[in-house]
Amino acid sequence: MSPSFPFVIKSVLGFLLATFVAAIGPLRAADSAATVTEAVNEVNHGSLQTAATTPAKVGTRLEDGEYLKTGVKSRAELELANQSITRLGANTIFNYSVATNEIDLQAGTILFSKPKDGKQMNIKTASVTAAVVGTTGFAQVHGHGFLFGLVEGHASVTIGGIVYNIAAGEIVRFTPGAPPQIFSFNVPLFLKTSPLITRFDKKLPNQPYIDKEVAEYDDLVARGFIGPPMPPFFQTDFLGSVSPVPIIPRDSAGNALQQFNMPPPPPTHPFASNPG
Amino acid sequence: MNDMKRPSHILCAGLALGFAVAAPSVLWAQVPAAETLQQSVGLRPEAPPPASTTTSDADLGQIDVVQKFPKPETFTFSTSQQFFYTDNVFYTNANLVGSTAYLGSYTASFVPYSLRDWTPRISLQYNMVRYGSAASGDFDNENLAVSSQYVFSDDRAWSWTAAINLSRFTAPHANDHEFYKEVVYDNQIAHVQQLVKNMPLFFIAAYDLAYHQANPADFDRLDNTLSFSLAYYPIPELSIGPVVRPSGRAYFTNTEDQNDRFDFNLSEGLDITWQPCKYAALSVDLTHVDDYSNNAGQSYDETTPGLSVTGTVKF
Repeated sequence: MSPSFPFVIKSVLGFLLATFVAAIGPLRAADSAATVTEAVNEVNHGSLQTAATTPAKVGTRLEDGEYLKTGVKSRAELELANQSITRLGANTIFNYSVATNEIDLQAGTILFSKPKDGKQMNIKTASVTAAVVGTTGFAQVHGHGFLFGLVEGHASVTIGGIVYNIAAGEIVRFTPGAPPQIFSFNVPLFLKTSPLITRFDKKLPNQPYIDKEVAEYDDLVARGFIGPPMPPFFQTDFLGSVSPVPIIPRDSAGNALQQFNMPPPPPTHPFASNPG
Repeated sequence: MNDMKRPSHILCAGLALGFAVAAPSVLWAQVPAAETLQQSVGLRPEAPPPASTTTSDADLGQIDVVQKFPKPETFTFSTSQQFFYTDNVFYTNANLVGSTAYLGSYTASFVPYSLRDWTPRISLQYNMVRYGSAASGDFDNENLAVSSQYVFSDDRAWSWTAAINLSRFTAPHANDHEFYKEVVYDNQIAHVQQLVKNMPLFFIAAYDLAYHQANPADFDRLDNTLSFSLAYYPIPELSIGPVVRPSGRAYFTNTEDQNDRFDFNLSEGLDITWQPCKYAALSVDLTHVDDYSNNAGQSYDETTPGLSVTGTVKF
């Protein structure tokens, strides 16, 4: 029995509708600034233009200009439009702009992992701006104070117009009224103890780079290049920037040349042999 | 704690001081032992490192402050182009021959593995020496060196370096005839000290024991050399340093020209090095050598003002 005409029409329309829905899904996702992928306890989102907030849950999409806010003992995870993963700790206010590819961290703590796609993303606070390209790290704002650390990758942090280059395993801490401090930290311990790592299920996009960094860190610890803080020490650099080979013994060579590469001098020859 | 400017400050200062210690040594070729094992020394950090602290944050977890020590780069390539004048090409006071000179040096070194306190290194070096008005003194030189440095104090002020260097010399105007070769077994203990707190003035001392096993054996000798130098940095990119090197040299092979020969060799010099970046440096120096021998007619002295440009790449 051949299918009826209405059945064919319905099937075609259904197929076209499904195709349309499937097609516009990614477009709609691309239009939003971020999508909530995990939300625990009190997580709200809202617009900076209005006072109203709405609870955010998994799947909630934040439009450009919207913020996400977590409460006490709360946390959330977002996937940004640029595929970066950002995790928010408690009492954090966060905003991401697709137009400027910029995170505005007003308060609290975030962990970010931006894929190495070559595009720069800025993390901005009231007093500090950090530029990352393909990096995993964290940022924390306490009033006007700022803490910024890297698990892997590099970043440049601008404080008061001065650019500080931060490498993996380093933290820059800034407190108004004092010069910024840069120091190294124990990366594996951070990864083992930070709730922003341990209490989330999803793998970070830069996990292979994090694993590589941990392996390098462990190797440097084993070889003694990383250890507990010590008193000041001389930055000795074995053979440094200069020739690492013993210099030529020009004296002996010069005399040997004179003695053995030339005809034997007469007894009164002025260049009598003198080996050094 | 340190800020961004400090590592570059320390790096520049360390490299510049390295040049201050080492760059003139090529011109002080009369006393190879003391500079056989070159070591650059950097400034102390201006502030102590972070105290041993572990902070705990509800969101970040444990932040444990650690100290990182500089790790030697695996590969180093450097070249040094030196132009100098010597008033005694042939190391004899019987008839002084002065000449301008050029020394081109090209070096590659490899660190296969290293620990915080131990750095082994394999190096290859080629040198060419040309005299402006004494071509019979020209020579080429190739070196293969294996060295090991051990730092044995927490402040890294003391180090011990041992090296074996195989060296070959040829005459470029005589179909590259090999006229001299030697193996140098070298041991050096070095110490660095900041003389005045918060002032970039450093004192570097070294004792070097080097045995030269030479071919021809006439040149077999044992060198005992002390080296004392100062390095002052009016600015991080500029170093000024006087050096004094007394050395005792015992020769083991008696010939018609030498019998139980022992020389006291004293060199003094001043070096000024400007290092605008970590890849290049410019040095001017003036060195004077006095060699007093117990064998008549074999004492000599030499004065060498010089200029050198050095380039280095490490990775």
